[in-house]
Amino acid sequence: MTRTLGWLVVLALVAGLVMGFLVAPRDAAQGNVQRIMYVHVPSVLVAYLAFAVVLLASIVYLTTRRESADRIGHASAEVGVLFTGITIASGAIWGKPTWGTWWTWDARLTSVAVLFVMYLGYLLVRGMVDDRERAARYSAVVGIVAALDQPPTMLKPGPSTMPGVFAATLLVNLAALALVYVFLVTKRVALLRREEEALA
Amino acid sequence: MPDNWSFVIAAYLLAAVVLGAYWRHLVKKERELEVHDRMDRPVQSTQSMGGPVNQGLPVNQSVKGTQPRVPGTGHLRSEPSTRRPLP
Repeated sequence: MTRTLGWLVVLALVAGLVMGFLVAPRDAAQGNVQRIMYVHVPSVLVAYLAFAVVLLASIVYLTTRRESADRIGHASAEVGVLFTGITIASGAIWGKPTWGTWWTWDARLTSVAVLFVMYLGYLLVRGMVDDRERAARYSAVVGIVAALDQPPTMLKPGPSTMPGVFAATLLVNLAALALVYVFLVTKRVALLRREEEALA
Repeated sequence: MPDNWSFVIAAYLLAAVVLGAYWRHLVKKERELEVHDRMDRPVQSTQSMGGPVNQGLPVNQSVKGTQPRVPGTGHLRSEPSTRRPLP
């Protein structure tokens, strides 16, 4: 099943690249640099999805103490941090030619940076506490608290209309990165289970 | 607006490197676990059978299909034919 998912991921990524570089036209206002948005926007949306999964898994773990929920939360946080990192870096790369600066301390950018640091904290808590059950409990609490930072990051700068081909390209890339997320989380959860079995 | 292709390529490359590095990290972890599993198996069989079985082979040769012997898990000695006098 993982192999099939892997091939699906490869196909989706190729489709995303073809849409982003060959199908979508050059943006009239921003030029080719707008193509960065096909990585940046899907990355941030997948990061939100990952952190929403962490929130749900944390609640489930604290109420039921199911280890599978803890493993899903752990794996999702790791992959979510990766996608947040890609979001911040690709946003900075887009900002330099567009705004003339790599970074500005506006509300949205700052809250995404805070989100990144909070989930790094989640992973640090897991690594710092030796007792597995306590690490799972503490990180579940951090996972719930960190989710409170998500709404400010979702603020949109204003209403915008997007031509069909741009929206379609964005959707294909979103589907591709969402598949990457599912694939990596599935793999990580399986590895976490094996690690626990090896330690037991 | 200039094309800024270098920025576009940098952004895509960065995403590919980050995801690729994480993927490699997972593959490495998987291999480590496989090695751990393999090293675990001969130890368990040695303990359960009361001692290692080498089926008459020199210790530096393993029976086909079995894993290399883990150091410190038994008291095997080399075969007399493989021993050399000390200089």
